[in-house]
Amino acid sequence: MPRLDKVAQIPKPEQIFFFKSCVASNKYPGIEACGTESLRLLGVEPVESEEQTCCGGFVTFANVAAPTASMPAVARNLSLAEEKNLDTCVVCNGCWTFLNEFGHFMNHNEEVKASVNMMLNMMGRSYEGSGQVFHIAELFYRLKDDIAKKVKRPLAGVRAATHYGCHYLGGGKYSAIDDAQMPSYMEELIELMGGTVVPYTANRECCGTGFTQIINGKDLSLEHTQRKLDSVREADPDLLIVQCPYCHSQLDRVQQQLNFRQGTDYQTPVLHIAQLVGMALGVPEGKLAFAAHISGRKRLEEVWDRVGR
Amino acid sequence: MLEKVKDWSDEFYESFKPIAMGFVNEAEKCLQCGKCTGQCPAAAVTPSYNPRKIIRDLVFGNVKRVLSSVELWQCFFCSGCYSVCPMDINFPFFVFMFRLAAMNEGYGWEDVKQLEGYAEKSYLKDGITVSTFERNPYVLDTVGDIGKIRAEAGLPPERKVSARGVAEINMISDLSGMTAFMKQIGGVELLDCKSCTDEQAKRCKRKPMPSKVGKVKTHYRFYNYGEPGGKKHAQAG
Ligand code: SF4
Ligand code: SF4
Repeated sequence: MPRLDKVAQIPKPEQIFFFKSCVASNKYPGIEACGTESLRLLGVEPVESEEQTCCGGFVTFANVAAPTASMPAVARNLSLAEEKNLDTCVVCNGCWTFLNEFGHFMNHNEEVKASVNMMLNMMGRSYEGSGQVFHIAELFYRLKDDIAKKVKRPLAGVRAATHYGCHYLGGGKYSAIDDAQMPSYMEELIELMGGTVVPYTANRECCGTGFTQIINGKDLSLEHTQRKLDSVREADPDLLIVQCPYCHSQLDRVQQQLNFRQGTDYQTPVLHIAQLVGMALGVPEGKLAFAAHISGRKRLEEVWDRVGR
Repeated sequence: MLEKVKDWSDEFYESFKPIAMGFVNEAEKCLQCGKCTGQCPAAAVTPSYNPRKIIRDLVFGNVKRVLSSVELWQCFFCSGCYSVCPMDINFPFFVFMFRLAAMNEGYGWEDVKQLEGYAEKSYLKDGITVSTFERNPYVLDTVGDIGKIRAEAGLPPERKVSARGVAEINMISDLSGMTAFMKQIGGVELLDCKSCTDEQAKRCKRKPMPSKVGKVKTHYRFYNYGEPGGKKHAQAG
């Protein structure tokens, strides 16, 4: 069921707590730089905090700890936004699903919330559950009219394919703004910025990271990614647009690994939606940080030639 | 199979619930419709992986089969099964609770050991789970210094979490038992493959397996849900 009715409920805030993602910061800094810059251009001031850590979900999903260790870490991060009286904006599907799912769980489970707060109180913090968590793609969709008005580099002649990512769709069954099986808001954003959407068969499939499978079961992970990449190559888009830095890293890096291992030639540049919006809104080239991208560099240059630097 | 019968447990699922803080419940409602398995990316690459059967085994109490299986460790944590489940069963949460239970019995530590570095060296030390460290030389060649790229993008060359932030998550780790848990993992002793029986070697599917992880004695895991199938094993066989 399409849940676009939810979009109207997303506020158009003046300020938002900008939640930094580990992978975005340390592997694809363009996502962080473009995320904050595009929000600013759209009239939303991002507020950051050095107190913010990794969202805290990793340790549970990597089975290094029980959920009892993740829950207070998530609550602590959310409390930072609450202190400032702000909602939170994330750029990563992982942060989104952990902050949302664990937050939701604590909000509906007084006992857990009380025990988490006991821990947080010891460090002079507390978690109320008053703020909301939005994915930056949702905010972009909410601000789509403003985006349409402010496009500086129309994406004319740019053929883009999309990849949504499991942790937004799967885990967000009830909180995602779109149908978890067949979402379409990114396509709408691309068209609105002047680009052409390229459909491909494996569009809604997992990127293959498999959370920890890329480390524990690399063969399985690569096999799955290869299926996806084969399907992408068939459709031959100029850009593959993702909304999660972890999918980004998998789809970008595995192309190089497969080319090296199997002599294939996968060359599709992968961009985060924040970078694509940044590109269209005229964010300076340096802030897009394409130097951190690995695959499809030549193709990316061609795209630049088409949209103009 | 008869010897397995005595491992069946009617209490397991009940005892499982409180540890999971209420995350896993209502497995009894499973319709065995198989929608979860039909769209599962892990099942696509390892056909013997079957969330539907795992749920059935939990409800029927055939716990040993799940806990000692390799399949339990094949989940991609994508939540696709949850998104299609007509009964709203959030299967990935079952998986991580199952894995904790399996570790309690000595299974799977070698996998978790590989992830410990992210938790200990990155998360607890810097507050950031994925560091700038690049272990792939080809990526390093292509990308170069990420600090420089960050600076060009107008960001501080290094993202830092404040000392207070790091201290607080360490405190959470201590209080929640995570630190103690990781101490248990400690160092790994690698199994000497020469001492494997042929049967073990066959089942091991060439995954190097440490016999001990830290202070924990590890056990072999088996493909309990049938021939694993898939490309990986076709090639290995
Ligand atoms: S989709 Fe849900 S109800 Fe159907 S078999 Fe899977 S867990 Fe059971
Ligand atoms: S979460 Fe695990 S079991 Fe569920 S669909 Fe994804 S890989 Fe399959």
